[in-house]
Amino acid sequence: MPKNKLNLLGSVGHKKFEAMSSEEYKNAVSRRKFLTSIGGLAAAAAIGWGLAGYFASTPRMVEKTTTVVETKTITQTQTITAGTTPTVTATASPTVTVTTTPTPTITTTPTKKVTLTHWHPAHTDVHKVLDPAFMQKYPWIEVKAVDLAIGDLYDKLVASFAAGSGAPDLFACLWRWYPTFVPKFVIDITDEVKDIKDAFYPFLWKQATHDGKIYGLPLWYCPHALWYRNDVFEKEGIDLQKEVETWDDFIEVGKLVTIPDKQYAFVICRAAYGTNHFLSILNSRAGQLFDSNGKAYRNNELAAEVLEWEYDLIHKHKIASHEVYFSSGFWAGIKEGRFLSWTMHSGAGPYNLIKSAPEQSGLWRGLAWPLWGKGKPKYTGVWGGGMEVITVQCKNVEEALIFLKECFSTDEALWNWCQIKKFVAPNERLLKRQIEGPGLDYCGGQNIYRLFLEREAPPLNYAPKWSEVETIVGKALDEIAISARDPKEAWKDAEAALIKLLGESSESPPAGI
Amino acid sequence: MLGAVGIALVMSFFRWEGLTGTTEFIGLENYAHLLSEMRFWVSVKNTIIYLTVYNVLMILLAIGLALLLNSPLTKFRSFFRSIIFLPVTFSFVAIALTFSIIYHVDYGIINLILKSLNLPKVGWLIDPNLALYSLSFIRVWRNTGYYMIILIAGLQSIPEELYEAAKVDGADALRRTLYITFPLWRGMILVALVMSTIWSFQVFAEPWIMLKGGPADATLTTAIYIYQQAFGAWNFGLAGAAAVINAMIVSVVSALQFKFLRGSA
Repeated sequence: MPKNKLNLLGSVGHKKFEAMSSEEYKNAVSRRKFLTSIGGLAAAAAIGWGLAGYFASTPRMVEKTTTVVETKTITQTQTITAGTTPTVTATASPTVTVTTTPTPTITTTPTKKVTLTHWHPAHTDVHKVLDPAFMQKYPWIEVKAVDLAIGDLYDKLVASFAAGSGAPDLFACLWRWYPTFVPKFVIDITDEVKDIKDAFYPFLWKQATHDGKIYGLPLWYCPHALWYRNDVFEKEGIDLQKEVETWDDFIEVGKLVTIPDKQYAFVICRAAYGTNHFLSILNSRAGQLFDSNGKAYRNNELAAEVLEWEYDLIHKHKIASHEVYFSSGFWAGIKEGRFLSWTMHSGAGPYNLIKSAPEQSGLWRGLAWPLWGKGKPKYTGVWGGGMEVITVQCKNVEEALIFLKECFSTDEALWNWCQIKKFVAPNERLLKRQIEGPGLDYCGGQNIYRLFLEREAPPLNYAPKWSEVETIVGKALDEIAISARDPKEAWKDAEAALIKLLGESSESPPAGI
Repeated sequence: MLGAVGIALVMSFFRWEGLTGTTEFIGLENYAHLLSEMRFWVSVKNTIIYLTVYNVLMILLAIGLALLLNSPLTKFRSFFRSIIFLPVTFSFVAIALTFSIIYHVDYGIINLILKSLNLPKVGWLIDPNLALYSLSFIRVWRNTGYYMIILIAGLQSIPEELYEAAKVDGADALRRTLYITFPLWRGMILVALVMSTIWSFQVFAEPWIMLKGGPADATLTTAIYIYQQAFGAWNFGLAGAAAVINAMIVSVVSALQFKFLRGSA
């Protein structure tokens, strides 16, 4: 049977071929000819479809909403008297400014769909609200949001930027990743955000600025408070709101509620993730690990002191246990009542307690970060914060900007963030709404946002190669927590490793408070 | 595959800061650095301890189970083979997450059992002296079934006539096992051992997912070290050099295994 001929007549092929005359055989369709024809038709159809789609697209409709902005100058004072509920008095000298952005020319909606990929760490419940509404308003823009664990998000971003492809169009950039990704891998949006300057506090804009240019929308700010099981402390006759002003006060009352191996007044975060907890404590003492260029300090006595403080809580005062925050062991400890307090920002503290320990609703309260001594500055620490950025690999920057501003800068969108994730509001208008709004049922009706009114977080420097920084500091935390290694020795090794990784700062480390 | 190996080798002669993109030829400097890098040798030591404990336990268990489940005296052999093979089908991630709960010092089932027997609890994963062995056991549990099946196949390839001839000569079961089964089975055991050794040099999933190489580098393996150098410290050149040294160690260990097990045959 001739192998290079197709018999389009069916399975009796070879007999048909044998029955053909030489003229008929010559005219029979060869396999090559057949496949070439089919391929050519398919290619022509594809090209035609593409051309039709291109010429059929109509000009874009660009919508800019008309915004009215009221600016009020509000002075807020908070009076805390022992035994009373804090009151917030807003004395407003309102100067109202109305700003209207003009509605530009409206043209028609494009038929070509644009897909934006967006990577974020566990913000699905907010994006479930924001993204569909956005896609309804901008039907030609599809948003594919990918929820990744924080460690995985960082690693994947590093890999995709190093490879030059595979990065998303937008991602949630935590403050501690800023030196890693900004400015090389994200785009400058300075000109695009001129009209939304009042969306965030000036200090948050500063956080998003590098060399005078703005690289993201800084909507997450994460100052810490102490979250505690009020019912357990109350049972021992302890009212933390009245009796604890300083960390020394807390240690004393902690001894009253701690039962060794059963119940601990506090839980410290160790391992790599604990680096951020450690930094929040250092931050509350106005300390730094790195200078403004991301270089590590040598002879950082304050950092060694903070590590020793954590060591003492576990091994000297014996009021603290250790665990990796948000691990299964951590939640088991919270739910069992083994861990009675921890420090965290509102966006991860009460928010995660509500999700993971709903049965403990009403039992928890928040306390403003204890001071480091009577008369010391009223500082708290931060677990950093974050901003939304557009990557240099984004091919649809215009659409990404629309998504960025719509979902991460309007008061409506930001209020969703605050309500769902319990973040502290990033502008004064929304903070006022939070403070004057109802309390949190989970915290017995307490208005948790007032905890942050009397505390200020000093600025905190970060460094590049953050996952390796976490590995180094995490090792020191494990050594002091688990192996009870001398904290000064543990810090000495960690500091040497940080200097080897990042280079040594030429400045002296801040003495802090 | 050769391309990837070649790239790692070439990379190892450069200082390549992954994210900044700067590359500089530095010759053997990465290798010299690794020779004095304590953490790298800790990872090599941990990997060798891990694979030794794992392979010894696993192969002994697989041999025992293979003999047991190939014996005509054992009932329901197919059922037991399936049950023992089942963990091989589970993903490493799922196993790692499950065992991190099982091993938990306060809430894990093992310590709860110990507590009920009035025995002290054990820090399976938080004790730096124990964590590595705890992880070895997980892999033994998961992989024994796989090698058991390979060894059963090896057993079944031994000709029956040899056993019959031995029986005629008056050899008992023990002598038949020692002088027929094991000598003819040795090749298959060697194959299983070499495969297992090479794969266990790549151990990453359990120590990374469960402990990120901790506590305090107690479960830091060469694969984790390479990963951290590449994606944590952005030191792709050093990671490449570490990968090359790791490959050389694997080759040496495999060659020794072949020499030892074949040579004594």
